[in-house]
Amino acid sequence: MKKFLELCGFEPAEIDAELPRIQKVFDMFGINQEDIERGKDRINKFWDPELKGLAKIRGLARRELVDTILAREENKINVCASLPSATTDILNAASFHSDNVRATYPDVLVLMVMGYLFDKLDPILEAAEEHFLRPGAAQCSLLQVRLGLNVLGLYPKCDLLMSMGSLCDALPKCDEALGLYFNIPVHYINCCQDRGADWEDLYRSKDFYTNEIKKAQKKVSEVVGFEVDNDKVNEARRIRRDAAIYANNIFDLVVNSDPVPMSAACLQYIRIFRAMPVGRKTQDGLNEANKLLFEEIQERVNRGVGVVEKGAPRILYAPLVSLADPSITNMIEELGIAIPLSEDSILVPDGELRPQMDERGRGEDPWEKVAYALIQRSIEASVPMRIRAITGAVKRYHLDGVLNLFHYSCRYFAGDPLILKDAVEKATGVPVMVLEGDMYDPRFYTAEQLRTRVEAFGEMLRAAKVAHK
Amino acid sequence: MQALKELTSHMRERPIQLRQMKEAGTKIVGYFVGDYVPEEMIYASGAVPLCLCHGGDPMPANVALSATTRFLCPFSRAQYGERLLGEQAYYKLVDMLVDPITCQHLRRAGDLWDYYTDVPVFRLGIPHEYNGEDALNYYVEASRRLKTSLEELTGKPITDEALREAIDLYNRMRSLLKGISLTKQKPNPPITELEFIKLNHASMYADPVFMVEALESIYQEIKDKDGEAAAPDVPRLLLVSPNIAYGDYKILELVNEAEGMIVAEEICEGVRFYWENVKGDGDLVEAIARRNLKERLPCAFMRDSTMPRLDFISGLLKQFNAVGVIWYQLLYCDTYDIESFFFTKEMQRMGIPVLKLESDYDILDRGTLRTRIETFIETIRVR
Repeated sequence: MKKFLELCGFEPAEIDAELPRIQKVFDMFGINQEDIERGKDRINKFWDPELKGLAKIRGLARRELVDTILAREENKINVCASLPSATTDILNAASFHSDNVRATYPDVLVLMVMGYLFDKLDPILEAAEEHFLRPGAAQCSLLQVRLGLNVLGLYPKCDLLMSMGSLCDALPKCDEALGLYFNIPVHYINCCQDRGADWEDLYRSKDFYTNEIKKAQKKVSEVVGFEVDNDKVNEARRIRRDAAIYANNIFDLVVNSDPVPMSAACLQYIRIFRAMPVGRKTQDGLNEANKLLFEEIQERVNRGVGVVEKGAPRILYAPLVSLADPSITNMIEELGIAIPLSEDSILVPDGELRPQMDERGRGEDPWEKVAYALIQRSIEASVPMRIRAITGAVKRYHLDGVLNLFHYSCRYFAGDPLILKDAVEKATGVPVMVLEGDMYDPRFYTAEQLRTRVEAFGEMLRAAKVAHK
Repeated sequence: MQALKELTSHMRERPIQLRQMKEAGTKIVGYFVGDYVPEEMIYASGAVPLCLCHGGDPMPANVALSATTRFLCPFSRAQYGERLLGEQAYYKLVDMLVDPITCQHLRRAGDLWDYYTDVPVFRLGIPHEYNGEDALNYYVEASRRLKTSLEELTGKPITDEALREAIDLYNRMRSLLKGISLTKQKPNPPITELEFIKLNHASMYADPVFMVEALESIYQEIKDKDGEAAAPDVPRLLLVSPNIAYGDYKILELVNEAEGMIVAEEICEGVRFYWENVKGDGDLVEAIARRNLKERLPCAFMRDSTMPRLDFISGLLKQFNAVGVIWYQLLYCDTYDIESFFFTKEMQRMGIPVLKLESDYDILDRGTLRTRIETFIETIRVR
């Protein structure tokens, strides 16, 4: 176990101090020696073990999970939420202000640790399948993780569950059911998906969404027992700033370098950590880790080191890279295809990496900015806007193809892949491959099943690249 | 029944009539089911409102797989597949489509129309919160934008007077459907559930004035009448479903064949919600929106809709003296699937047996469904 924790960037003194708590949580999840050995193997295979910044980030995920699972028995006020990250600023403001508040996205943390690292989500998924998210109905495995944790008593019963109703219908419905079964208070943050091809539609959505976020701010204040005011929010943003800046710098380096210096799965870890609320100690660690990682990646770029060969075909991976299973993107990279960008990084209108903040979109209100930035994300956009964003990104970042591995059990992402394929191929001339997969459940869609098709896609991209030259 | 004969004849002629109207310049506005699109407004604009609700046939649902994936429910796929196949006249006549942003499935059906056809699509924002004033305001504003779009389409303003008339017309239609539905509370209902649902479906496509007259005649004829005496052990059942499409009558037929009797329904899509009318004389757009969002029963995709739906269904069971529930859902309908688990347990607690059925509109599932329905009815009979 100590060796494993060293691989996770823990210092010896930290290991001595934290080991009992970590052991307790690992015992709850049934993590045994065999799992630890598998974890070590996966670190070596999927994690760029020589990157020290990344090792520290692994350790921070572990710490965050332990703090979250033990929050209830350590008498903390526990506020849970999930992606998309409309609540991040509110929850950070609350938890940075008071040690007595633990506010995070537990299901995401479980994916990052029990899925990504240990490949041990099966018992959690199976528990959910025996409850209200049955197998065979294409119910979302992310929600199955959330439910399974509750069924198994692993989820720290929360004082408030912030339910994101801005994307799919299943997540808020699942949270409603969790509320009914496990007596959890639920607060919804909604947004309406009536946007079309006009930018004007974004203003309308932004106003509604802003108001919803403000209502969430009030609700969290009621639950934590102090006002989570804008001053606290601004202070939380200041505390997170370094980590965010270095994360953005890493993304810029990755997208603009050839060869691509970092794997897509590791990059996704950074991206998610940037988006989710964490405890204050973790945040301080994250600020340092992202700085260190940026320096390491910069150094790799200077040396011309990459996870694929220089000149490899470059693709946009849509809609987002799995948080639970790095083996699929690893397989793609093994086949010599670089993934410098995933769709969840790009924005409307034309695939930019930074949101557009025009006069009408950004008033004095800080929440307006949050709402406006979120609805500019390509993955939250209407189909016509999404087509434009992906097309823009392909052109802007000189990509050779798009691979859309849609989460089959997500009605939000499963409806439009063929439209996107048709439109993006027509607009850019690059091939778009559509694959059906599962982002959080490795039982049914494995990297090896997909390998043959991705191999053929890679050949096509390489041939097109040669022809283009 | 003379009125029914006339209605049947009207429905047969309706596509031809609509084509002639279209050729003469009348606009035809299609919209998707769920009772969130203000059909009164479409009617008041001078356009013809057509609620597109065909389903049950595997072919259109399968044809749509050329444009989307299999994880949309078969009804939603069929809404695009019908247009693609071009065999149903109604789907070919549409000049504008109103897509209410309800569940992800229907939202995507609208996206398919938007991308693959030349029909303009108006996305009508439905906030998924039925009981909040902010949500209502958003929906009212969305309805006002729809009003403007309709005025642009027809080239005519929608006056308050025209809207008032349309509201009165559709209120009357809903009241008559409610009156007819309530006759099924009798021990020997004068109309079967299948007949009622077919009437309800006819109201989606028929000329509304003609439909109201037909319903009025039918209601007058049956309100004091009893149907054929049913055997004393015929179980009275309630049908709960996210969607019963025009043509998706398999379950209703199989229950009849198994000598069960469905006496009432709670259906989110496909069947017009007739329990509440539009009230108020002030801002008519707001009055319609209030009825559609707040005063009707929320569908399962709405936040915190499980308990109100459970209460409503429990009330129906008592009012219609039903002793069992058939829960019929379409494959991949995620929210109803989640709800079914809780619902079944609550019904069991109340001593009400529930049979959960699922369909992908596959013709081969008829045999399996028959066996399950027969067994369910037999089980209730011997209780």
